[in-house]
Amino acid sequence: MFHKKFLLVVILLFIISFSPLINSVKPEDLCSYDGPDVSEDYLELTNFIVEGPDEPDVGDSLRVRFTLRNVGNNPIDFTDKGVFAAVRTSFYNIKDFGFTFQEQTLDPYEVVNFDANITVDVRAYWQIWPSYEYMKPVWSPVLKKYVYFRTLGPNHWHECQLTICPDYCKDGTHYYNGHADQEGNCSYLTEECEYGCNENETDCSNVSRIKIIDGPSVDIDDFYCWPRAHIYWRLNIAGTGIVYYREFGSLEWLNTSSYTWDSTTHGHYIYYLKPDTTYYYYVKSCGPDDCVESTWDEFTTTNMLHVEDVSVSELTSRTATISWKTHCYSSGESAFSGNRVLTNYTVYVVPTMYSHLPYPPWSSVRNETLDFEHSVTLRGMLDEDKNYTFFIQACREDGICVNSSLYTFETKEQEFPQIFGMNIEPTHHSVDISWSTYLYLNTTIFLYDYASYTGPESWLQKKGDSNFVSDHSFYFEGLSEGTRYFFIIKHCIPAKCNSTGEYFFTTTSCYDGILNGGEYNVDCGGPCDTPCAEIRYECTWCHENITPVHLQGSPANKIDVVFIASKTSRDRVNKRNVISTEYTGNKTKFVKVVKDLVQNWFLKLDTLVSEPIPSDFKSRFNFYYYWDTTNFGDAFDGCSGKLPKNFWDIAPFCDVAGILYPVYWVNGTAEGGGCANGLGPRSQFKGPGFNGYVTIHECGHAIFGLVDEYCGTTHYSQNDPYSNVWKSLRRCQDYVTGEGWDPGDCRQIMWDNVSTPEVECTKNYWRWNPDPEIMECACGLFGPASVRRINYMFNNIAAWRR
Amino acid sequence: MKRKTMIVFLVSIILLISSPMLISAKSKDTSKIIIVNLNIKNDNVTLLDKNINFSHPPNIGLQPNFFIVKLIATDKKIIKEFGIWDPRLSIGDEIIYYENGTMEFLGGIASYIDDVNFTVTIPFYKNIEMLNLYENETGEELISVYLRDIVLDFCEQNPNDPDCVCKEETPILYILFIIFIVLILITLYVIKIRKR
Repeated sequence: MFHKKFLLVVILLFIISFSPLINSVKPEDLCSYDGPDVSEDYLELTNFIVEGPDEPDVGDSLRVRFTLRNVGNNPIDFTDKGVFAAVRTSFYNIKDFGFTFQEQTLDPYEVVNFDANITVDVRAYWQIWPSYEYMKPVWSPVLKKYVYFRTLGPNHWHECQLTICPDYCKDGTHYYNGHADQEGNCSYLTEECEYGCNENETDCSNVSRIKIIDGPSVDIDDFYCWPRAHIYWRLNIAGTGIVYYREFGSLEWLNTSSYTWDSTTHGHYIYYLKPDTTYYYYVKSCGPDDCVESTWDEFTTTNMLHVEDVSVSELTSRTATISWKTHCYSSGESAFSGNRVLTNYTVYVVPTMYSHLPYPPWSSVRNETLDFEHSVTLRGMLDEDKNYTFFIQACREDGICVNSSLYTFETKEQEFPQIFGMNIEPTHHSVDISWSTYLYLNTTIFLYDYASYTGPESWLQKKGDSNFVSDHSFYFEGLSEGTRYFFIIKHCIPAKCNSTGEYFFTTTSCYDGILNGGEYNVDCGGPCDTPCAEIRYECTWCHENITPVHLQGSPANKIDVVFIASKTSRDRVNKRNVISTEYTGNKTKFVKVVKDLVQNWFLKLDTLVSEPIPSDFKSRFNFYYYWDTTNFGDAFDGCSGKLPKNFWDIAPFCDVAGILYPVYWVNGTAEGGGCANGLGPRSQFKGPGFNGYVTIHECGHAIFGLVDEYCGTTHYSQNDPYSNVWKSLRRCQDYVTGEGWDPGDCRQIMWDNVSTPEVECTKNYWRWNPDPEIMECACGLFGPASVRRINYMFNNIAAWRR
Repeated sequence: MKRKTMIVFLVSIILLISSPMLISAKSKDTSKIIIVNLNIKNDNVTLLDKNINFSHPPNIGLQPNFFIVKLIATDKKIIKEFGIWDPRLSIGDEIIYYENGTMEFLGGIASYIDDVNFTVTIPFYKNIEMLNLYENETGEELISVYLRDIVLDFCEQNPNDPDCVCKEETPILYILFIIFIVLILITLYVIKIRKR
């Protein structure tokens, strides 16, 4: 009994588990009727199936199958139509097909298997049903015999109804949402396809054709010595951008250094243009499916020869410094680029009393400084207490010169005494002070403790020359380390005495927060005779290629920064990457660069912020350097550089890896910049080892997750929480109001060209920090909003413990 | 005799209770990390390799969430969830330097490079099963990395590692064992007294 029940349950489970297969309809079965159903003519219908594509369209084939069996007692004589599939489209169009078993007789119990195909030739409402025609015998009481009538099978017998109204596209119009109307014709909604139909003509083409919808426009930037052109344009969709340009008379098209950046706005600078020169240009952008080029246009650069803001300073009895500003650098500078016009600046000066003469006896000094701001000191050609006239002449190498206006100044009376060559060399407990005078003098020097100064008589030590000398040198001992002192000097000649102002110095000290050479696990500050701090930490997590320079504890709750030397630098003139061994061939130099950055920038972060940061911020960092003579970084392989192979395997604890590159000067200029991959740890950056401000700017990204605040083709985002950039004015105002700051200082990130009133760069992001801000210019300070984020990172760095 | 028995009894109890503490005392830095090296190309993330090392993990989880990393335990609970930066995107600054110390900011670069290798390094979790990476905006799962195999391999090769010892089960068994021993000792003690 039990076995029977068990068997039943198994069978039932088997049946249930397979029932979905039994009941399932194949995907291609558009209609099916299993039957049986018997017509009045004693024909039994079974297995009526219409097969075809899921969504049939014109050209598709429909397969119709069914079986008819004679279940009557008499034979059935089919006509010339026989057995067929009856078809109606749009209710009235007859498309019967598949005629079989024509003029044949179906005896009782015999079957006819119908199987035929029809091709869809019209989008409409379709009705398909099994049908037949036979000669039906009817008894005629008049004729006393059977008469035969053509008789069709039942109308719409288990008919299959198909609405064949699929979406399609024709002649640039997309027909969609089709349905059958009252007459059985397909009715559609339509849309005009902007870019025609797709290949299958089933829908509009989704080709995203790229178009230039604004520009390209050009602004000539004449603020600098060399003209540069800013070319900008907007696209209808995000795409890449590149500018092609060539000089008038040249057939060679040049292009801007391109980088792939999908954006609807593009702005490219063309540098190193010649002054007074016409250029042709066009732009090219590529979207996901195609590219677009603008038509040619032209621009002409301006002449930069100009002298302005002339002033006289540092006037003494026999010297004067003449300063002026130009759009160009001076002579030596302008030679480094073949595209520039060489320009020399010369100051001509003459006593005013002779300036009216036809040929004044001008003295001249040629300017050699390499800057926008020029200055020369007139020395050896001036007398005390006299009026002089001067002008500045700027000459291009092609002989074109421009003279400034005439200016005058008056030299001072002789001062007593003139001091030069002041040199102060403090150590931990002593200081060496030396200087020179033009006159032979008797000198007394008074040394004061800055903290306990109470008046001129509170000097700590005083010393003096025993004779009248012009070179003076004094050595003071017994000073305290790390203490600030000042001194004044009293100079005397037999006739009179005069005292100088205050000079300052600070003695060196230990505990500078740096593990210098020879200071293994001990912080001695500068050079120390004996260890001056106890051993606190051992870098058990350091690979042999990783050396700590500032170690404050386990990496779990420290910001671990590892510096790597770059084997490359950048040749600005020839626009190429170059191999440099400045760091990789000189470990001592690289380590010094690292220590300088750590000591003078990172550990002085409290002097680079506008608001307080944690007082123990120095102990929240660990700094290291990586050194492997066979495996260096490459700062110019990619934007943020390429780390040594297997770096992350060697230093997995590293939060921020920084590749430092050496400068590559060519004719007094270099390029490189910085780049960060990641806003906040874990990240990597590259920066110039010789420029702390730029490196700190990059670490603003890489360590503290700060966003750029200048306007350019960089990446912007609202870096919550504690943002320094917001994606709307409202968000900025809400945030700063919450901090108690003035929401009126929220401003859009943009750049106004000084020389032209139009705005050259605008981003849909807002900032609040006062300028100058490190994330805006790699100068100034981290503003309050940035400091909020810096403090947030300091306080949350132990991420795995949260 | 009675005193001797009592001393043996007490010493046994002390030894039984203190021995696990002695065993579990750590004598060195046993911090471990799981390193998962990945590649992203055409928005497809693929696994390059995965391994376990003795070291400390970086402090991550403070970046804008381009991608989300979820660490899934064997009981399917989330151990940790944190965001990471899109490794394809770099933010650069174009600068020209001059020998007199001045410099000129020329503008920014947002560099987007496809086909990039990147690494996700996490602390060693004995109960970790998967590391899942998601696209933050869409929530689309980019990759799911099975980590249970390397954890088991590591513990098989380092059975005495503190993170591989069954810390949760040992105390319960140990307490039962102690109770059992104590009961036997008490029983023996009572029998001895009665015999007297």
